[in-house]
Amino acid sequence: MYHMSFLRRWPTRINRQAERCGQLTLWMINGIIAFALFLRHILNVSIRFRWLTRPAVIHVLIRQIYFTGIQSLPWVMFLSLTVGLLSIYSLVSFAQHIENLSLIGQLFRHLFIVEITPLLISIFLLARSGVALITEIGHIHLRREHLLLRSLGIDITEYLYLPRMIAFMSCHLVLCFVFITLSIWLSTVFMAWNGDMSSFRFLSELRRDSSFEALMTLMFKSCCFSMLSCAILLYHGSRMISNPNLMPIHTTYGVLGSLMMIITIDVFIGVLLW
Amino acid sequence: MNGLSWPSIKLNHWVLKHTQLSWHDHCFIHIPESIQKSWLQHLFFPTTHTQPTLILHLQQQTYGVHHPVFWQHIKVIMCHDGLLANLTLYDNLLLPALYHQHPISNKQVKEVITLLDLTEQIHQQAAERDNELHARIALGQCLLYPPKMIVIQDICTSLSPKNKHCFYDLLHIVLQRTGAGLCYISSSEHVSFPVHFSHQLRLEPV
Repeated sequence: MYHMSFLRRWPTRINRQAERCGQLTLWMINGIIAFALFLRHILNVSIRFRWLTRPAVIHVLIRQIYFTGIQSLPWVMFLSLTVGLLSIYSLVSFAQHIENLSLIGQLFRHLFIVEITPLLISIFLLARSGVALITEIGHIHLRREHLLLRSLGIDITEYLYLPRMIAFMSCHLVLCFVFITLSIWLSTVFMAWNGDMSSFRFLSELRRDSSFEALMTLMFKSCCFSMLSCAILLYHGSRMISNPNLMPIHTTYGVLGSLMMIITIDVFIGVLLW
Repeated sequence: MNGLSWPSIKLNHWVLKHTQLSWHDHCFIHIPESIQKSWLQHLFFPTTHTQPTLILHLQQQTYGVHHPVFWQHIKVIMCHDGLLANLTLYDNLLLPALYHQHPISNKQVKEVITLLDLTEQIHQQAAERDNELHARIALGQCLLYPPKMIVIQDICTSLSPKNKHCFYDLLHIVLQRTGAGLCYISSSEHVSFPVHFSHQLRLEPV
């Protein structure tokens, strides 16, 4: 009897599961298409370069660079002093331990420049400026200020989204270089002070294996991570229309989505380079 | 013809008849308070491109509300929707002129600030402000970046008599200086306004 009822219910359950799977798939495809269109629109506006001639847009850009880049500098210095110094010191200790100092440059290039730096700065910017960015855009939409901007003849992509994305990208790149430079300098000083290795020897080991390719990979990763994470944040911020209760949900989705996107792209680039 | 027009627009069992306004016309539209917000949303920010709404006629071209050119010539002043909270009042005042690269001099800006009586608070953050200040800044924007037509949602119901007179005086100055037309949307049937309305319209039941 039980067996019969199970058999009768079984197709219904399968149908329900299939429906759920289908809905989820459609929801994801819809989201990806909407995000792609959103990003395409921002890129379209950016390559028209009309924003360069608009003082109001440049004003927003400068404010964003100040917030994302300049105000982040003390934190990046702190990161260099802790994570940067520790990473480089571990690399050197490892090379000294296996008595192969020529590994220092290679490890520095592959691990520090290409892997650790862009990922660390991305996570830092996401935690510091990303959350502020998504809530600011969300508030603008909740207060219907996007309609006010439209009624002033202002393109919201050009005025709200594009300067934030450009600031995010440029600050990410600059902060990466600041982080690397400060970490190298601090490590050099620390090792010379500690007597582990002379500054000249350490720098010459780094210089021997440094390559233009690693620098290009860093720049590519930095641009990719910052552009896509910022676009995801802006996309989620722009969807907070009319319901303030959705703000924490969209903020979580935005930050988590950006983080997952960064890790996925990092793995993808890693596989490609490997 | 240069000006603003709209076809017969229906929404929520009410209809606004087809009208054509030229740039110097002064028009009064009576929209009941209960449906005013939805009507304004529908007129200026329709959700789809196919809904019939306002049309700007300019040099034998027509522009709908979705076109940026429309908003360069029509200034809409709505209740509580005149300021960007994270900018200062000064930045809010200059925003349209700066965005559209309209030439303005420091002298002109100072004069407008004095006229608006905002000399002391102009560099304060906009944040939460009262309705009257929203409207004052919006009128200041009109002086720095003159539109062809100003559409005002009736903000006077929430103003004190003194502020109401100040607002009327300021609006009068703005209309004189810019030569713009006026479309005044109100929930009261009669407004003691120092301007003669050439068109008096009202929503009619379908």
